[in-house]
Amino acid sequence: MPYFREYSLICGFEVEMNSFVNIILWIAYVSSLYFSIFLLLVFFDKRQIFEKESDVHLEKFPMVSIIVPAFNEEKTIKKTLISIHNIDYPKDKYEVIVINDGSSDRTPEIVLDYIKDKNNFQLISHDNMGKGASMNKAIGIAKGEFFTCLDADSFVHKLTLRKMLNMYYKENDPRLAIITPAMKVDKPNNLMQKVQWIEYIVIILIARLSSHLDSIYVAPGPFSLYVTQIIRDVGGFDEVSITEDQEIAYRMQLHHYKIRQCFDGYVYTNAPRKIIPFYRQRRRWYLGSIDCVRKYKNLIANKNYGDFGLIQMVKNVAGYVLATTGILIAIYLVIIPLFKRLKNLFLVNFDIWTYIMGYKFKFDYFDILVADIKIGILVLVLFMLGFYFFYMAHKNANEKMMKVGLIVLIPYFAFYYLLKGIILLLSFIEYAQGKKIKWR
Amino acid sequence: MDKSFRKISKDKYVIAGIITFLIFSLGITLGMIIDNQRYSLIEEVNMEQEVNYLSLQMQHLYLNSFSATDNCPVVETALTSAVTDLSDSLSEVISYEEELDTKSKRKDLVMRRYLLDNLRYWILAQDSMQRCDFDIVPVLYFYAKDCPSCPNQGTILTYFKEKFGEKVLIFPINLDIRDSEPMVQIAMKQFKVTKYPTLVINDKKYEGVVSREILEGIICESLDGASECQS
Repeated sequence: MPYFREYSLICGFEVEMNSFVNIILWIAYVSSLYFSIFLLLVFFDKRQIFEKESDVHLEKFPMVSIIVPAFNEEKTIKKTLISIHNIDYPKDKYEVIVINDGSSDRTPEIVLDYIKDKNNFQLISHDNMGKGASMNKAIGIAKGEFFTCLDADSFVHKLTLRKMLNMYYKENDPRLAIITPAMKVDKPNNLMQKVQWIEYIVIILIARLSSHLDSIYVAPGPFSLYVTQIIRDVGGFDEVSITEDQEIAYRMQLHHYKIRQCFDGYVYTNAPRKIIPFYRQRRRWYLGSIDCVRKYKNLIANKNYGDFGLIQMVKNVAGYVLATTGILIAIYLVIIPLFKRLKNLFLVNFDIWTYIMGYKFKFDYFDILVADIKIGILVLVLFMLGFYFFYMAHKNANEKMMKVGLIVLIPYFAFYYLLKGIILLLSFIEYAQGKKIKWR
Repeated sequence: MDKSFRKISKDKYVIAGIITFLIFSLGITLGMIIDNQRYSLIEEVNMEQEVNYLSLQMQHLYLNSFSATDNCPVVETALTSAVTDLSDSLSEVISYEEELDTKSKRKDLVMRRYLLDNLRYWILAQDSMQRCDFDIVPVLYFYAKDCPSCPNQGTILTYFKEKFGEKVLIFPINLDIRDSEPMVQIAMKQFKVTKYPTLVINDKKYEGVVSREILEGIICESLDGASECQS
């Protein structure tokens, strides 16, 4: 407890910094609160028409092309193909096009071996041209009225296709262009994967709410269902973008096409186990999305685009701005006092023993009185909303609350956002430097 | 493509705004209530301090009038506990108030009150020590907000408070309120305080930050055979 003023000043600088930091914190908390309450209202509004489970009974069986772009995926491609083969759908009504995007490993051999007795599977090989270009090539020859893309590190549930098609026919709207899946992490093993497992569960719920607002802005690579003709009409995937799944969704929104989420159309994906692949993945996502927002900046706060323009686009931009400043502030609020404590210890020759001996645990009325209640209330409400979402997300995804264990919650709430924020900050810096962004 | 399906959920925007505003107002209101509580508590503590001081003054007067030096231990105990009490109960709140940038009449009065309490206890201590042999070292500590090295001194002083407990009594004098509290100027003139931080120990003035080693030397010189000095 500070008896006397212990924190150093750099003359008036810190006083001004403090007010600036406070204002930013206030804006961050109030806007987060606003968006959270907005989402909560959507949740409560649609709750009575939230279906429990998608229908799997189909009247029609349209032709579907399943495209599997693969680049050096020898470890998982066979499992992916097996999951496709196990899909509950007539074998003569779907074709599988595997694209070997210039792999240098055993991917093509493994694929050829697997598909030799299946005549609705085919393999196309070409030199590496990126996912977008590979997809466009496949769309060029695809026979299906619909097509989906399944990443070679993901596996689809056998009923997902049925559920998605059902959703399409139920909606019965020629403007419906894409149906997105509910992505889950496949068999999380270590802490990194378990934290991501939780994250994806929450994303499923948020995407479901966004779907109701016609505000989905990413069609995830693993098993999104596309109406082939519409994609061809808009010119196929963007071959330059490193996140063509986001770019196509933005383009659909631009042209006023609908995107819906199939809330229980499950697809399981491999999440990065170690921090370096995680960094690369998130970096690609962030760079791609910054690029997309920049490309589609006309949609921001654009009334013509309804809720998508007014709230989703604004949230995307505001979210990134606040997250970056948030990280800088977190560094300011955590690292700097840490340095001060170290400096103070240095002044007293690191005699921590004296402090330990003299330590009396004292929590009395005063401690409550000097707390910053104003921000405290906001933070408390945000936490409560967060927990509620967290709980509802699990219910929505048909998962038990403690599936990955209680202990994961601590890193999830404490460190994960910090980690993502740092990656976002680095991505921003990289983007601002304007270097050409490559796929890997 | 026909965009008629685009809708703006106006009602949700408005309701979300209202709820956010309500929660925000709740926070502000609670903040104001807490502020009030803080000041009431300070009032309460001040009243207790008044009575303690009065008692101490009486003991001091008694000491002087009747040269009853066998009262010294009582006076010493009363003094140290009063000063420790003052520090314990108010220093945290005072630090908090100092951190706050807001200028208010209330805050000003609180700061002045605290300063005067410290000063009068210090004077009492100095005076009593002429008569009695107290095993304490009173330290008068002048500091200001715009002084970059003061917090270092503050850290060192806190450390000594932890180490020596009631043997080292520290009286912080915040020079920021010199415009509203005349005693500050008087004290500054008396000890010729020009730079800060300045410490006054046993009638000697120390300008600039006094390091841990030197301060320990000074304190241990005054305290004979204190257990904390063996090192």
